[in-house]
Amino acid sequence: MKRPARLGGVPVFAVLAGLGWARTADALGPVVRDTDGRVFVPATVGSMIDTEPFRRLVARDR
Amino acid sequence: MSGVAETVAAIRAAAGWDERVSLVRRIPERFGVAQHAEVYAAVAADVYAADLAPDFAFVHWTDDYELAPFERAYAEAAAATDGFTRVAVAQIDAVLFGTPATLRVFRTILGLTRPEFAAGRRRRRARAVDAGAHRVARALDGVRTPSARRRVARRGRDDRPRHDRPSLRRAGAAAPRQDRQARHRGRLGDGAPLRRARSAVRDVPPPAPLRRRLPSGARRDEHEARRRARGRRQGRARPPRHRVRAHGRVEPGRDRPPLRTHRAPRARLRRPRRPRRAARDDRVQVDERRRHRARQGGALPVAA
Repeated sequence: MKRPARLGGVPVFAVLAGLGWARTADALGPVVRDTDGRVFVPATVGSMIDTEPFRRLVARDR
Repeated sequence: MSGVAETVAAIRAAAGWDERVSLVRRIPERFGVAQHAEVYAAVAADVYAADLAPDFAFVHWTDDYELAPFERAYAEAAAATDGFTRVAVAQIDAVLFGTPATLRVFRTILGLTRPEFAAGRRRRRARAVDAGAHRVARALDGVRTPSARRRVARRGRDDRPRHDRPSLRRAGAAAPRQDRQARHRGRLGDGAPLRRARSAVRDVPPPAPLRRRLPSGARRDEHEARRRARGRRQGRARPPRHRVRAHGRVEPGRDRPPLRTHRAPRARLRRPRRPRRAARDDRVQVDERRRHRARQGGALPVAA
């Protein structure tokens, strides 16, 4: 939850589905906080690959 | 809170995900700890919540979904749609308004929760329902206790007077009162199912009365029957042997000889009391017997 080194720690991603997450104060908000905004839903999960560190990993693979 | 609004706007306008992540990361620098929850909630609501979609994995565990009521609703739904082959929007509409219980069937088929069902019908005429669900979801934000959530949900469902709600207006609620009553009767049916059910159970005997048990575990009715039989055999019920009064005082029952409250002297004489011996004497005796058996080479006595 609290990464000691906010930069350089392990990046956390969330992929959420369902309208239960529409509760923002105590459901989605904390997820956004703990993932630094790396929150995806099935509709946007494709753009996860354009997010660090995935982009870097893909480039190294090629 | 212009700062919150600016931050949310900046995050929404971010060019890519990396920029968005870096902006979210800066929230703890820009705002005090007391404001964090509010800011993150605002970001979540404005940037992320719009992308959420219903998922298809949950059915409520309520009595309405037990087998018997569900089977009834299923039979209705199947009959009204020719075995789920006539599923045009108009047909489903008619079925849902004619037999509202079939909603459970369609909901289960689609695997949606209630707000998700409302959201799933977004493009259909349930737009008002959908708006209501969103209002409920928004109002529930930050409401913690279940009772408060229910209260808010009730209030947020639809504020308009009943006759003005779109579903009923669609069904023609603005029509004259007589028409409305006629339609209500139509919705309830002509009473045929009830009559069928009544005739089906006509020959079934009524359930046995609830039979209470005595503290001893005996059935009260059986107990009474035994008592009555005994009374018949003897001409009348036996009077109780004794009665227990307050403070545990025992009195003889009516028509009974007085209770014997002490032991009869003769009984005391018949069995002389064992002379009192010291425990030490017993131990000595036991040890002696044990040594004797050991000398004899026999097994040790288990109990002296």
